[in-house]
Parts: sequence; C-alpha cells; structure tokens
Amino acid sequence: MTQSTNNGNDSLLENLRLELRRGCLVLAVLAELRNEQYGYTLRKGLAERGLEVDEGTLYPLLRRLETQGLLASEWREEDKRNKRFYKISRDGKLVLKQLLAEWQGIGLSLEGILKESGHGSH
Amino acid sequence: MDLINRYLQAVKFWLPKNQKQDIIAELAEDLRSQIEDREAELGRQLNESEVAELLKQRPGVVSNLPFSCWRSWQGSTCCLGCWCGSPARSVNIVFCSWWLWWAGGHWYPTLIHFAGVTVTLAPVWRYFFWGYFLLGVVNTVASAVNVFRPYWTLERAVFRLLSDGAGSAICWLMKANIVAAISVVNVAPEKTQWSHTRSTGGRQNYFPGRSLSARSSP
Repeated sequence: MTQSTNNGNDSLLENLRLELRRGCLVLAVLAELRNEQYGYTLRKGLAERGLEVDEGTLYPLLRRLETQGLLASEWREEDKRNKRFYKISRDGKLVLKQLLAEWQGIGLSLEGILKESGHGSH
Repeated sequence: MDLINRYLQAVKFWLPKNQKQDIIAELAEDLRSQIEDREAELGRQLNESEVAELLKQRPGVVSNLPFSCWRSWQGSTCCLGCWCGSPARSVNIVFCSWWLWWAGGHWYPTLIHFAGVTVTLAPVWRYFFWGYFLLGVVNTVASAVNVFRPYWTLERAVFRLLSDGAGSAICWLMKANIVAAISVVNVAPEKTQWSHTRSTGGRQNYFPGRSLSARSSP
C-alpha cells in the first residue's frame, strides 16, 4: 500500500472518528451539565473521563445548545473573576433522556450485529 | 499576562463584532483557569516562555463560525508571530533594513556579474526597483511602529493587506520583461540566445511591461 493511500485512510478514519464523537459529545455535555459548571471545569471534567475536547469545539457547541434552548448560561462572579456558568435547561433534560434511550438502543443493536457477524468482543 | 492580552487581541480581531466581547471574555477565563491549574501543579508562576508554549498548544479543531477564524489564525501564529511579538517583528525590521541597505548600495543596477555570467536588466527594472524600495521603506516604518504599538491589530492587518497587494501588483508587472540579455564568458552568443528570445517574447506579449519599456527607452 502506498504512503498516499495510507494518508488517505488516516484522514478518512479521522473524519469518521470525529463524526462518531460529535453525537456522543452532545450527550456527554448535556449529561455533565446536569450540575452547573463553567467552560473550563466542564472541559476538564470531560477530559478526566477520557473525552478530551478542545475549546474550539466545546464553546461553539455550548453556544449552539444554548441557542437551541437545551442549556442556559449566566455570567457570575466566582473567586473575584467573572465566569460564564452553564446548566442544562428543562427542555435539555427531556432531550437528554430521549437521547440516552436512543443511545442505549443503538448500543444494543450494534452489539447484536457485531455478535452475529462474529466481530463481537464477547 | 502581556502575552495573553496580545493573544486575545489578535483573536478578537477575527471574531464577529456582535460576539467579540463575549467570546473573548470566555476565552480569557478559560486561559487563566488553565494557567492557574498549571501553576498549582508546578507550585510556582509560569514564565513567559511557558505561557507562550501553552498558547501554542491550544488545539485547533474548530467547527463554528466565530471560532473558525480563530483556528485559521492559530495555524499561523508561530510563523507570523502575530502575538509572539517582538522576535518576529525584529526579524522583519532586520530584513527590511537589509533590503534598504542593499538597495542603497546598488541603486537600480542594470548589470549583474556573477561567476562569469553577466545579466543585463531591462530599463523597465528601475520602475520596479523604486516600487520595491518604497515598499521596503514603508514596511520598515510599519514594523518599527508595531514594536511600540503591538495592539494595533486591525491597522496592522489592513496595512499588510495593502502592502501585500502592492507587492503582488509589482510582481505581476515584473512578469513582463526584466532581463534584456544574458552573456556568459567563453560561451558563444548564439548559445545564450534563448534568454534573449524569451525576454523579447515577454515584451511583445505583455502590454504594461512593454509600455513601461517604451517610456523608459531614450
């Protein structure tokens, strides 16, 4: 296999990986924000749980979710510094519940598919 | 902190007007929290180069509009030194000064001798020479101003755009015809004919260059 093909596959894999992560990230952020947090602690919390996300992805996502009414935010002073705190909204909680059910359904389906085709980890 | 402010100023320039303050305030808070965390780990304050390193490590996977400019800007920070500041600007000043010195010592040369090769530049060269000379002077002044006014981000970008535009225009005009002849010691004139032919072709095909040549001819 040539180097250019390898590079092409790497780039394809990276794109697919990002695509896969994108949906999961919404779930993770909504779930994390069941407790109010500001941007940095949220990013740190996600990273500690193995879901590293850079600020260039996280903050736009937070803004989008807020625009969609799934999050609420407010600027507040903490430790003599102004921070923007985010928390999941009532609508957000509802959506999270539905998304989690969907997520679990997908997980189960995928597990079944992988088992049948002999690629399962079990 | 001066470095962080310069970084934020540079990022701010690229953000949409109505979201500038909001995004910058949040980004600033994120940065300061990260620095505080790092300082707590080390048990001491970060020095300037450590802060610079931390800024450079800021990842750039960006998807939304306000942050996409930030990403493209991030990609260029190390090379252009927009916020790295003084080292890059100093290099720019040194380069421009060298150019001025070089230009001052040669005053639109039309003959260049190198390793037995003599290149004769077309008379039109003097116009390009003065164009570049002027750009060199203006760039040097701009770099010097930038040393004392690092926050003039918008003005710098506008100026750079104009300067680059002028440079590109000169390059485009130079396409016409710069070399009049090339002669090589101990090589028969007919063997260097290709240069002359090519040069003549350029002159015929490119109107601005031809018109400048015509005006500069006695």
